[in-house]
Amino acid sequence: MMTQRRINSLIKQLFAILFLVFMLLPFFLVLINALKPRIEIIKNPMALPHALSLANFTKAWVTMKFGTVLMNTAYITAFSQILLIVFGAMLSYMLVRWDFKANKIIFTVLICAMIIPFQSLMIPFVSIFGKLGLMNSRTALIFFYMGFGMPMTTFMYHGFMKGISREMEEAALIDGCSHFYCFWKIVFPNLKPITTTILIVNILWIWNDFLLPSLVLIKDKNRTIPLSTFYFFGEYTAELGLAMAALILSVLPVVVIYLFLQKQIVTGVMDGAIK
Amino acid sequence: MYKEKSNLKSFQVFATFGLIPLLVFGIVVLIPFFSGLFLSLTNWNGSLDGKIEFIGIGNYISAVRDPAFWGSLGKTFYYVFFVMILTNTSAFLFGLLVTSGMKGQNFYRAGYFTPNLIGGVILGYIWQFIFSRVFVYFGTKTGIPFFEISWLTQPHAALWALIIVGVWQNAGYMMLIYIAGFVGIDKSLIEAARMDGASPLQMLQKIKIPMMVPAFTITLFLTLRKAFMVYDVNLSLTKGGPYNTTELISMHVYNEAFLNQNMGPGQAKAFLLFLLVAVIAVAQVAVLKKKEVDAI
Amino acid sequence: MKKAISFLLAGVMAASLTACSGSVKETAPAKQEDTKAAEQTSESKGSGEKVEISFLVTKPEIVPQFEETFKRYTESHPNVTITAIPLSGQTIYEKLTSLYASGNAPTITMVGGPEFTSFKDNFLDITDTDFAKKVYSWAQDKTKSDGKVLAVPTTAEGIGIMYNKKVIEAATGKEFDPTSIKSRKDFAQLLEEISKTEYAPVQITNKDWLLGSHLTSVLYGAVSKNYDERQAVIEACRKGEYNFADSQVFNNWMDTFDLLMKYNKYAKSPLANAYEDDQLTMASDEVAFWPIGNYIYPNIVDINPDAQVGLMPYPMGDDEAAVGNKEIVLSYSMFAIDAKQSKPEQQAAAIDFFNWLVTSKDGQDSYVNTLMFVPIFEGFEVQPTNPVAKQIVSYMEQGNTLERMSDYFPAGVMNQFGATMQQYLDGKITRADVASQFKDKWVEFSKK
Repeated sequence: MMTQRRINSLIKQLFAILFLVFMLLPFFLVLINALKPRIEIIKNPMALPHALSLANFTKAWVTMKFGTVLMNTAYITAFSQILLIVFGAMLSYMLVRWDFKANKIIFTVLICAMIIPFQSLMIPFVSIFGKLGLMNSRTALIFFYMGFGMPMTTFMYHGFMKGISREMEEAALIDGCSHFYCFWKIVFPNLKPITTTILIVNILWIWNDFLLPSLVLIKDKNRTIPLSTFYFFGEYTAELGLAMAALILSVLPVVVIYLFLQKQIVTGVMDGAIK
Repeated sequence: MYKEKSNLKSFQVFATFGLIPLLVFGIVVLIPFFSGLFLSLTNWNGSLDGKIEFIGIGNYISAVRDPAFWGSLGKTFYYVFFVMILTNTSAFLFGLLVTSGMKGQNFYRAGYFTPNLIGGVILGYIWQFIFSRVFVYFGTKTGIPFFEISWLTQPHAALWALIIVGVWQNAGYMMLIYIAGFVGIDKSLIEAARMDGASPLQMLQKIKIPMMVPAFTITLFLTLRKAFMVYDVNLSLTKGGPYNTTELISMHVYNEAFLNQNMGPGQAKAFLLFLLVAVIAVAQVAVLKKKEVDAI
Repeated sequence: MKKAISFLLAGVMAASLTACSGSVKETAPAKQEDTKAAEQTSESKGSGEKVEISFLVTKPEIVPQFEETFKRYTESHPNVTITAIPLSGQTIYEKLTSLYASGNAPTITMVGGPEFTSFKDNFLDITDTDFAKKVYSWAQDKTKSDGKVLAVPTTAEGIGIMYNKKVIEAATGKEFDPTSIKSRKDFAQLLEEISKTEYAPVQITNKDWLLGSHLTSVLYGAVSKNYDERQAVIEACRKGEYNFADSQVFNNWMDTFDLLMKYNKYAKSPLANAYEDDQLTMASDEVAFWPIGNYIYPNIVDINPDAQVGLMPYPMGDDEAAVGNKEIVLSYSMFAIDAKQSKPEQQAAAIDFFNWLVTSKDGQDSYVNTLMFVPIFEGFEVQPTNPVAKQIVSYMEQGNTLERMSDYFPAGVMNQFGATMQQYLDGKITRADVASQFKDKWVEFSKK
């Protein structure tokens, strides 16, 4: 006799698998079509490919200049992260540990900034920074990310830092350490859990961001993955197989990293489940 | 709290820790924000070379008079409403499912989260392919009329295509927040309820949902914000089509400014969008905060 | 501990959010308006002897061909590199606006009529260059502003109805000569005949640029053979004084559109067919007629090198004498050089490039055989060999052309016309709605 429990768990598994199929099937369909020539896709987009051909991938790689694009995305994401972590942590340290009158105002402004939709900044943003000649470099984009990411990063550090005891740093200060040294030597290492979370959240944001880079990065040698995918689709809509291969290429780097770090990423996001 | 004895000392601390990030934040966010507010009250046409004259609320009047603005806003509300409801319902169910101690729950969590790893533009293209090729093929082969004609070519269905992709994209993320919530519920509470003979449904109703209000505060706030500001998926999935029927508010603002070159009214609309998001977000958080207090 | 964080965060955020609504007011005036900072001009850095120029290519389908041409030029001019900026899914207008606004104006731009009008203040006066003097005199009007030549035509393009000779002949069993279609009556008869076979008589591409700009050009081009009368119609449209509903030309244009819709392969769901698939069906001999331009020819022969397609007029009346029955729309976009944001050596390089393209043997060869362009320049030794290009040349020689009137449309309106025609195609609105929407959109967009 089947116990109630086993039936329950079976039903649960059934649902779980059903959901999983819904979440992952689109990727699978794109993948099988990336391996087919155009005619076959149009004839039957649900069929498995006849032969394993990577021709679409190699061609998409070359036309998208995927190597460059990948490096650009990595470069922009990495440097933005470093700046955000370094300065976000320091700023929140000041906000939490000192009794400056301005701190409350600064914190409130930062919080308010989190609900400003980018769309309400973008028009003046483009004309001001375009006028200053700041549109069109990866460095400028990194600078912009630092500004846009600061509220969220500071906010998350702020919340965590409040819960850290001050004993250690006070001991160090008595020993004659500067605040700066003390922060980096003693406080920052203690922030590791929240730093991981912030990194994950910010990496997912910047790696995949589209609107800001589409306004800032004009030259195609600076393009990031989402931009390059968009432009590729604008130009090669007719080459369905190629387009599918481009999608798979675009998705691949994150998915590969996810396969290795999924546990850290899932817990990281869960811990700071915000944004 | 550290106290500094002199203003000079205070300034040193500020210069070390706060100056650079606040400066960058000010330049990147505050300056465009307030310039935008100012420029929306002028006859500015996008170039900063010419004379800029103050014209009061003229841009806001022409924005409010534009029927396309209201049309787009109405569709955005429709979209936001359904994305919020459906995302949170499915995320809650996912969360419940994968915290029930079933086999392979970590695997499912990771799987459901996958769409979040990928940017909206790419997701939009993936689904464009699904809706316009796979569905249509499936419809013609099986003769199910529901799928036979591409959803993206019918105004109402195209809006629903956007909603489906929105839910699909966000549900995994929200699920993680719910999981954090479920895991955070005091085990002894559940145990006590079980001892009292509460059914699973009763437990859900009487303990889990009230205890989850903080999680709802975050998830509703986040889905609201994301849904109101959606642009990437809108661009790559429907591009506003067919015939501008799925032009959601972000795209409407973008097109007004950069496509039709109406910078002033465009900026005015952008500000109305900001006010709207701000008011709804604050109201929603305030209401749920009150519920939170009541529950505890 | 960890698990408590999310709730902690939520609490803080919620509290601050509620506080936020009150404090926005307090902090807002604290920041002063700062557009002055934006008044500073950007200085471009000097760059040695090497000259780099950029080229906005607004024909996505031939970006690789352009790049090949640039390479050939660089071989003989090693100090110059030309990079193509593709349009990449944006409209020309949108792209140019963002490029100019961000200080990244392309040295060379390809523009259509509306963009030429909007951006002409940024273009270099090229009246005295060799290549600009070679432009056929009849094509010079659109490239001028205040008597100065600011652009040159790119290539002659025809817009009309593409036919597939093989399909028509297989369906009718007779040889097909496009000049045998002298009026809409003839056309209707042929469509009826083809509809009884396995072949599809017509396919209509549902893209807004085709419906809103290319095909509407037939309408406004056919209002008169006389330039001034056409301009008068455009002017009347701008003022909202043109009565579409009672216009014979408009009704003729719609009648033909109705006819096309009646025999449309996709009549059941007219917005479902993708442009890519339309190319495929035409190339693989499945459909007889397709309203489109000859610009698609390279793609057709790319799919099927044996395709036998050609271009014929979009019929404008049952009466053989109706304007438009023997004319195709002749369209050309233009090349212009930036005067505002490019350095003198970049402008010089751009001029040299065009001199090479139009006057040298290598350049002409690239122009005709790589880019597959139909020259609107005098003195070309290399002439196009592909059959559709030859057809265009013969339409031009006989004067059987209509002006590309969408060049005079206000910016952005063509997407609106396109949206209107999509709704009509989809059966959502009536002819009267089309007339009134055309009228309204003209006025609305002329004001901007």
